[in-house]
Amino acid sequence: MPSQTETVTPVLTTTTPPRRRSAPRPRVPWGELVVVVVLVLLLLLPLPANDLQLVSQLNHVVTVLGAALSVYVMMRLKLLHFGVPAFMAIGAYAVALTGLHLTSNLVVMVLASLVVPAVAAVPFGLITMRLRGTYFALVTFLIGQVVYLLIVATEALGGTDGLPGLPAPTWGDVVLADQVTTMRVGVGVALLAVLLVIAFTAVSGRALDSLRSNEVLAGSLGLRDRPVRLGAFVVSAAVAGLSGFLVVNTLTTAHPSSFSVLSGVDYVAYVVVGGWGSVLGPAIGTALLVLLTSQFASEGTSASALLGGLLILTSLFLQRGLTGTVAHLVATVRRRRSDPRRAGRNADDDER
Amino acid sequence: MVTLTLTQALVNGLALGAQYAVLALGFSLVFGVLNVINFAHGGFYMLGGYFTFSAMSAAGLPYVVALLVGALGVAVVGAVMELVLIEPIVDNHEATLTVSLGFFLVLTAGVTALYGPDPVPVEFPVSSVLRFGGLYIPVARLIVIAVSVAAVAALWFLLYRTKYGLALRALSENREVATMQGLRPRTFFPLAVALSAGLAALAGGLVTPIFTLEPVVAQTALMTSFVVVVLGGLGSLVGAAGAAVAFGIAEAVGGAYLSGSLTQLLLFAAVLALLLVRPTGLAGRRLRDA
Repeated sequence: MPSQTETVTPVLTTTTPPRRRSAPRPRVPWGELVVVVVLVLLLLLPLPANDLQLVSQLNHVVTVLGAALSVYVMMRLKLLHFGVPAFMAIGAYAVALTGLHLTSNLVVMVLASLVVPAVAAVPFGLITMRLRGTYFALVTFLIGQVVYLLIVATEALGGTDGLPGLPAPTWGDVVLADQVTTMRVGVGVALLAVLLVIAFTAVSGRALDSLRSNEVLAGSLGLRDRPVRLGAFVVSAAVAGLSGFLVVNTLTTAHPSSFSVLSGVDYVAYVVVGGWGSVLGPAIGTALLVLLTSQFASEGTSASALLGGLLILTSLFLQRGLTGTVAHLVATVRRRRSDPRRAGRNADDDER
Repeated sequence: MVTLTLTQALVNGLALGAQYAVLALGFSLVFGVLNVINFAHGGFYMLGGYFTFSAMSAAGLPYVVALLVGALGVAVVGAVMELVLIEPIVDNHEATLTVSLGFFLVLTAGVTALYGPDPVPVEFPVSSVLRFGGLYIPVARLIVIAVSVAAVAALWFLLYRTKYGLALRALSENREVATMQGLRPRTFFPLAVALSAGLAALAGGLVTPIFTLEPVVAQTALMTSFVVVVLGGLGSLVGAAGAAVAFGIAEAVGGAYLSGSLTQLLLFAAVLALLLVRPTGLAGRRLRDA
């Protein structure tokens, strides 16, 4: 007489054939591609040299794009970084001192604005890598204030007067001084910042995502969180420094008022509004808010009200930001088409 | 001479510390109960000053009444903000932070549009000065100390001797269990924010007439709240009060010998350095809770 298991086993094998699941397709980094292509086009395409307003607005967007990317890198860890102006200032003053006392060579200036903030970020990073959530936000605010006060108190940095009269950067014998060229330099430096961030997220993206989604699980699987957090903070500082270079290159002055603590709120707002699924989020947020501000709110008060209103609306209704919400909708629609029963579930996985 | 300067600085420091305590306690209370970092807190401080000013100049109320009306008015603004902006997203730490930041920006923009960016002419009703030997003590500062101590004592009584306080502490300790016991966050959260906003407004209405009343005080108050709660430990009321007094005294004593911005720089840097050793501040919770 056949045993019970012998009769049950064939039934199981016939009714539940093993399901073959295809390997997940590699994600096409559309967001990254779009931003890089747009910046390359801005670098190469001829621009209407007489439309100075357009050139000025584009220059403004690319100038602060690095600052928004700096926020974005930390947002990948679900951390709100309000201390970006501090590292912009360190980059800016490094460039100013280089330009005034050493050389105005563009490559040297860019390197100074990249390396000095990255090195300066290490001691601060040692503090912040142990902080989580809203605590991080508060402490980065304090870092912004400390660096601002340090600049104001330092005579060698010009104190409250800043360092005026910076030379325009040079490329060989060419002086890169006129408005269109300044904008092109801005585009080039912003492209460098974007590529740096893309490289960092390509290498450490999975670590960032796993720390953001479940730190305990990531740790138990062997991921050491502090080097990743410190690395992110240093990369964030480096791209903020590039943005600082562009600020002083446009103004020809390194002044503490360009790096007030509250300006850090603007950069956070760019990313909160734009989204942080890819570099497209900060890019769209920056472009949108800079253009909206210049169109409808040229005064400080109305700009502040506009920014505040958008922050409120986004926090209440679009918590993934513009690009994140669109990506979420697309992912949900795709799932609904492919498998109506699973629609809406795990849509977050497709956003990235 | 050194003793005199130091005593003078200590008295000034106590007044500063007392006002910081009122400000930081409200900030820490909202974090403790709702787990929300309220960036609008500095805005409530500023609004307290302007409401008091308007109640005096437009409605002709005496200062003490105007101060209380101002604090009550701002408490209502705080409760409405909680109900409309915070409540729908209360469990999302980042979104509540950014929504309150947005409200802070709207508040400062609104006040700047209404009253202008420059200081408004408001004066504290008492301008007399007490003299002890070479020591000059403005009575206004003593009043600030007295009112702040009274406010802190009232808050302590409310939190530790009333059922309302017990409910707030229970929600702060464990929201799930407290809710299961029948406490309704929808009732208590707006009340907690109202209390916090009222305290900030009281500090604002009390202090800004002595110094200056301009929109930028919102930012200064916010930064002070941050540094004090980071020093004291986020969510700890005792830590916040102790850190506030210590910070106020250190600021005044430092200011007696060094320039104001250098003192601030040293103090802020010291707080950051402390975080290397004690990431949770002097009496804070575990970081993962934050």
